[in-house]
Amino acid sequence: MLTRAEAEKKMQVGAPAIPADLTTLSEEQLKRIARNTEALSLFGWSPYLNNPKLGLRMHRISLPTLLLWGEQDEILGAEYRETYATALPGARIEILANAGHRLHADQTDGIAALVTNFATAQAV
Amino acid sequence: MKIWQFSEQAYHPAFQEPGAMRVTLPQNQCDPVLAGQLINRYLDEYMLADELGLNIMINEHHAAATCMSVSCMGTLAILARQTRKARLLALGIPLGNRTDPLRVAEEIAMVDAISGGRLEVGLVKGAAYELFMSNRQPTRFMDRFWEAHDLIIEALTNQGDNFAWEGDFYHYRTVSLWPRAIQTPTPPIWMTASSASSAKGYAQRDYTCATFLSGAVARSVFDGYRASYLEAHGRLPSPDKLAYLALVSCANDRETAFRRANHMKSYFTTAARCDPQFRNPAGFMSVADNMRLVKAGPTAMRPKLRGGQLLPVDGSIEQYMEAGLMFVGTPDEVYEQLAQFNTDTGGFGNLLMMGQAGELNHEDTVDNLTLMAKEVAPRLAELTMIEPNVSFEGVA
Repeated sequence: MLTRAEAEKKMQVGAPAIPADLTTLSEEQLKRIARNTEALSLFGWSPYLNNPKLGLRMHRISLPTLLLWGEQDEILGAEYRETYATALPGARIEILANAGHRLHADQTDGIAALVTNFATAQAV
Repeated sequence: MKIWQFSEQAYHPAFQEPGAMRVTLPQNQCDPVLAGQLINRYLDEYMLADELGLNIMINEHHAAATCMSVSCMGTLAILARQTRKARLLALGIPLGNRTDPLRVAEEIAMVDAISGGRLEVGLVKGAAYELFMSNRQPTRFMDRFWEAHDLIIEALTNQGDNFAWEGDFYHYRTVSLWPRAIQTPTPPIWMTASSASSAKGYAQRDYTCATFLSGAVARSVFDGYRASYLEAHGRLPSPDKLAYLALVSCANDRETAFRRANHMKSYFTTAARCDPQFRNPAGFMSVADNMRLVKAGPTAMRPKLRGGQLLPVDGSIEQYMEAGLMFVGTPDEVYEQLAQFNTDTGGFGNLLMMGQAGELNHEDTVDNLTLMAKEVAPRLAELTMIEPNVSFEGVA
């Protein structure tokens, strides 16, 4: 298991969202981190950050689907992406350059544009 | 003051391995034949404690070379049968990490029945890093703890029909303890505290409050307990309601006592060997506590020397003595040190004595226990009760 600092470093291409030295943060920032940590445990403690039933349920997704993936994702690599692509044959897959697992942090504007375009196209 | 013999029952041959002693140490480092021999040796020492008139305390840990007792009640089931007089304390059963509190209640009742009503029950949270073995949900850990506690107490005290339990965390169609516990309404309940605020709730419930290796902080824990007890019950608690855990090395001469203490000190240096990513699992502490922890800094809970400096993990025996974590010397010296600590903390009735720790061998342990039982325990039993400081300055 990675240390917190190691995990934070692997999450995105840019600087870690949570600094190694938490004492530099404001009370509001600390509170937000603590609440996010609680949420992480509720969503992903057991089974640990995976849903064993997901593979059996993916085929039920029939709506248009956009799958965004960071090219430098060090948490979920290309083999996961291939599994999603196989399970969702109709999905559009976009791989974002200069983006890691937290692609929304690395490529905020790029993701916003892709999602907006995708949603607009579906609305027509 | 009563003495309770306690050993973590370490697999000390693993201490030479590099790296963590908890969570990640692979089991291929354990020779099971040697482990069995060591556990039997520790059980022999507990039986000696019984013969010597000492009481017995057992704990448990998981995935740790520092402690081979994996179940308080498993170990106590053996000692309930093999001892005759000693009170038998589980301190404690890690409720937040247990999956089945009804099973905990059943084991309490069975051991109390086998022992003829000699069981005392510590209900504790459980170590944060052991959530990685139990895989219990860290968030709302304490809510789950208290529901498990309520169920266990209800099961132990129930004199009427069987009942169903529909809680937030646990659901049982029917609760029925066979056998029942001998002691009524329940065996004495203990809990552990490291601050005055946590001690307060235990006082209100009339539970025994223990603090472990906390040095000068013990005073504020005990004062918090006493103030809250007075408020809740209209009288001060008996010293029997308070307990302090420390390492004790006693010998006929000072040099031998210090040599033994040095063998015991590896308890401290190995207990600390746990990788940091396992110490505070996501959600384990409340949002408020996590924020407090960051502000207080990583050393806030470390014991301190008299001058306020932190006690180094690999400190000298003298430093461990100064911090109130070790009592070392001849019977006279150990008695004097304990009597002084008793005065400093306002008085407590139970010394949870690690009479074996780390790499201390059987012969040294036998001598240590024998001297403590024969030459120190009688004097501790006669310690005058301290008149408590009514200002309770430690509470704030």
